[in-house]
Amino acid sequence: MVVHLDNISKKYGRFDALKGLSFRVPEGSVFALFGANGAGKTTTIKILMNLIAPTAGDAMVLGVNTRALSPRELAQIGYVSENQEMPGRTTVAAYLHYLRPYYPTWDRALEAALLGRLRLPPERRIKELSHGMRMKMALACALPFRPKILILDEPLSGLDPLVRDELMAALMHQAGETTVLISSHELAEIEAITTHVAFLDRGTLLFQETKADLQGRIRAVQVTFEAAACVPAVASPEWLDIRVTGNVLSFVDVRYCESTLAARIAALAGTVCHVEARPVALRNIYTTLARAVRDVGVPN
Amino acid sequence: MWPLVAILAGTQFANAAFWFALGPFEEPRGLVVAAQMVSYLVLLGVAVLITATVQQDVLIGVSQDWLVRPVRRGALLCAKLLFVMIGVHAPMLLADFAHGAAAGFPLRATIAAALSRSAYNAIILDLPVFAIAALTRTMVQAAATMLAIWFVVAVGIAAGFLLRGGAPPPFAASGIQWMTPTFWSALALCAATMIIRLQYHYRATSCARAIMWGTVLLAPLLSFSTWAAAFSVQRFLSADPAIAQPIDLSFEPRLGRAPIEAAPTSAGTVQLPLRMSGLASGTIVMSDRAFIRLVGRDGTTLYGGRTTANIGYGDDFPVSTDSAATLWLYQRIAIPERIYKLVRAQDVRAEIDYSLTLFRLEATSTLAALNGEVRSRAFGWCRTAVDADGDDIELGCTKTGGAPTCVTIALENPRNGRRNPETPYCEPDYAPLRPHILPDAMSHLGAGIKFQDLQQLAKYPVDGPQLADARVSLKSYEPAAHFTRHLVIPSIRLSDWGGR
Repeated sequence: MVVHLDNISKKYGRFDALKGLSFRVPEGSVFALFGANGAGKTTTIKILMNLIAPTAGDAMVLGVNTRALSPRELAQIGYVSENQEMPGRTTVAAYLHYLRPYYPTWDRALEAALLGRLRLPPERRIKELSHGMRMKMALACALPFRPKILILDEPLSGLDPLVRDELMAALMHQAGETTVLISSHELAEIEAITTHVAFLDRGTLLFQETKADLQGRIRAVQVTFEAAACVPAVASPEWLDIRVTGNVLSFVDVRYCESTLAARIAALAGTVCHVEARPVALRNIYTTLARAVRDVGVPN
Repeated sequence: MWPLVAILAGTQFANAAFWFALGPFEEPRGLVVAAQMVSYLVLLGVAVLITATVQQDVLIGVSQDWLVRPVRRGALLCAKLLFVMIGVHAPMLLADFAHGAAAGFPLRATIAAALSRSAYNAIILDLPVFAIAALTRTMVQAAATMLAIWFVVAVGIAAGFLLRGGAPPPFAASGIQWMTPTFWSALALCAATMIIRLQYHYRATSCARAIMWGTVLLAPLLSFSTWAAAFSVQRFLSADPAIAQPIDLSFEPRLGRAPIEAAPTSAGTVQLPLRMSGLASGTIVMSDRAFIRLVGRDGTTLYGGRTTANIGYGDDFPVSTDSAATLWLYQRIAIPERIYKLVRAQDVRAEIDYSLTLFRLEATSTLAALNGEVRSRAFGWCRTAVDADGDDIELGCTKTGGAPTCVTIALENPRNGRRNPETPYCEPDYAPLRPHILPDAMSHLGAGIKFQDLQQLAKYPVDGPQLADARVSLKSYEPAAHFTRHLVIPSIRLSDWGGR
């Protein structure tokens, strides 16, 4: 495991930002951490980067406790955050020049390729870059040393689609050779590269699994009845976002099982004419789960 | 950062050039103001450069890019300290050295003065500014923090004034007032060291801030100390306590009343005749403080307080001697008129607690009264000239390091042996080390030596026509022993010794 969190808690005064959080990021995975604002994603990442100390628990990155991360480990960790503050008076080229000696694995060719691909002006001062350009700059500083793990905290936040595409293209280029831990709301963009997902809510991990498993168990179900459909009086707690349109009942089933679904529906809602279950995009899984968490509590 | 370093270095060299151009007489006067401003600009520039250096890699917050880079915190701190050495202290040392060399001072003395100034600057300015910069994100925040610290210390000192009923701090205007800045420097050094370590190794900003404000709150602490406690520390630091052991102070009523003074004195002023014996030749004794207690026949304390309401250096004397082992003097005691009227006719017991310092002659030098010039280790480079009014000899000295703490100056004519009264310039500083930081590594001593009264009221033994043969005699004294004496006068009627 490249990242291993064990029962991490973080308090800010009386506020519990993280409550006994545990998860593992397998090597080579692209691990998406998602959750609503305030769920604890950024706090988790800052603990992983030793920017803040956990109140309790242990966090390990590359096999080292984050409180003991040394330059040796940091030279293998790429980090990009939407709030990253780089030295504004330094030019893009000068900052890359400054960083090179710190990383024994720095690849000048990759750096040049990234500068070209991300269209970063080398002579421009960092403070003169737009937010999007600054994020590209952060990525350009995080990739050339071919990190063992790339930790990205909302890297796409506030970016226009063009910049997102450029960033994602650069990321996809790298995704095969490095472990990526990414926290983002822009799930549509990262879906293609994501292999694992974890869902945080108010400092607690609701689940962690592979994207394939998640998309296998969560399906958008559309049920067509012979007569007008109605919301079952006692709906399954695993059915979320239940809607009725004419004789069609639709919902998201978070415990999808092809063999038993029709029988379950029939038991709850009457004679079924046609059932169709479709995979759900990560973005829709997130919004459905987030809405359910907000409205009724924790989904299983 | 390098342009800032270049500007600061330029300012430091301009400062040295200004003071070199001003010379021992510090003329023209208009340039002195400009030179003083430049010397303060240097301090400001040092603070700005250090703050900018530290805040290039801000230590507070969690968003700074350098925090996620494989940068060794210790190496970063060392790099910044090295940069401060190169950017601040190298030009400072060079400028001080250039000034000393251009003024013709010996190499060793010049280097020692430059190093001493640089080291003291590092302790009292660089490290505290470095620590404050390590606790702030921007130059404005750093400046605001410094102002807030100044404000809190000022409030603490003002509170001390209020608690003492408006009286100045116990050490004010005394040779031991070095204890306050030294205490502050020590506090600042300890706090700055802890803060820098905490910030660079643990980024424990809350803890570091608590240390900073705790230290700030401790700063006025010494002003709540007592004179006796502080002077006992000073006694411990005496260079040669044995020299003061034979000195005795006694009431000498046979001396009679003091001559009537030209200057009017208040109704509550009495002048007690005293005898001081056991003095070594070439010494000065200064009374740093004298506290009197008047006790009635029934044992009640009628009055207690300092013998003078002055806040200036020394209570009533120094006494100096070239050869005599015994001296007679009058101790002036200013008692509030209200109390004096009550007790003047009573037989009272007077107890006076003296805190005394004995100065020993360290060095002498002479130079011609007219356009004289001399270089000496104790006084540096001195020159004389008649002032524009034609009634004073102007003496100007520039010296590497700190100026002598106690100097007497006299005009004398070796041809006829006449000598004008010695004028003491004694604002003693009993600090074990006297580093000099402003305006540069050189100290400046200036004095006017009167030889003529333009109103023709006074006549000087050495006057204008003798100036061609006259010379200025300089004597430098250094504190050798700090000691106390307790004088008890079992029965005295104050009205016998003064007051109307």
